Amino acid sequence: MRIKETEKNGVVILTLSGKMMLDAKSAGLHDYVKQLIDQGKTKVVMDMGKITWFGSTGLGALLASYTSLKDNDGDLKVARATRKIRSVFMFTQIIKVLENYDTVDEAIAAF
Amino acid sequence: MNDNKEKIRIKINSFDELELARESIIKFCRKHCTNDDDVDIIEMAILEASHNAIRYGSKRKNKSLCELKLIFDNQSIKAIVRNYGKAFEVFEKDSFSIEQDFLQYKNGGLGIPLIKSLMDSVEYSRKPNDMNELIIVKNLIVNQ
Repeated sequence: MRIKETEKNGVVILTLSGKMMLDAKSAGLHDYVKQLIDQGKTKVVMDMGKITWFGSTGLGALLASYTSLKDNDGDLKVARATRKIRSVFMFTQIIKVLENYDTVDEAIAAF
Repeated sequence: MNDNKEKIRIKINSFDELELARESIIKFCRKHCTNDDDVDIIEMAILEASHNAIRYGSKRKNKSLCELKLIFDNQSIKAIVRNYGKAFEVFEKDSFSIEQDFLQYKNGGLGIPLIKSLMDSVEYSRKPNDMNELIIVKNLIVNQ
């Protein structure tokens, strides 16, 4: 999995691409977010439109990131989640805490 | 929907081979499911189970790292995933909540809860010679 970081209106956008499975980069997503928190950046959008494979490691990294951001008065929004990822959100009830937005701009506007 | 029962067996020895097997899994699901959501859900659950079987399995002589059997029986798709290695926990409960379960996991262990959330039935059994067998079933919506 690859992570590309940009920023807009005080919100960090992490564009994720590739396989969000059992690799160090997927597991390291939470560490990446913790570094953002250390820098005082606590509003994060994850653009998941280019994720080709989503598994429990990705799910864990996403939830751990959400929890860390919330614990630091921040928030995580998800944008452009694929149909498969949206299915996982629905079946695991994650949709209750992590809402998906159709575009990155919509996710940014939701803060 | 196809009325014939069908089985396929796939032997997988690496993550690269799982990538190739993914196409066969999708093709099998598309042939027997009437909607794309079922295809997605079954594919993800099978890939998760197979991925973990490869990751945690140990190689045995003349055996593949992960053996996957897919069975369509007109009403459901069943996947049997076998590997050799340490036994694992499958949790007694069948349903998981976001607050009580998913947000509490800090260091992995989400594989089985994810599979249980996606599928209708998950059964684990420990077989002789350190074989693990996971049977996951998705009941299909059959058009009347």
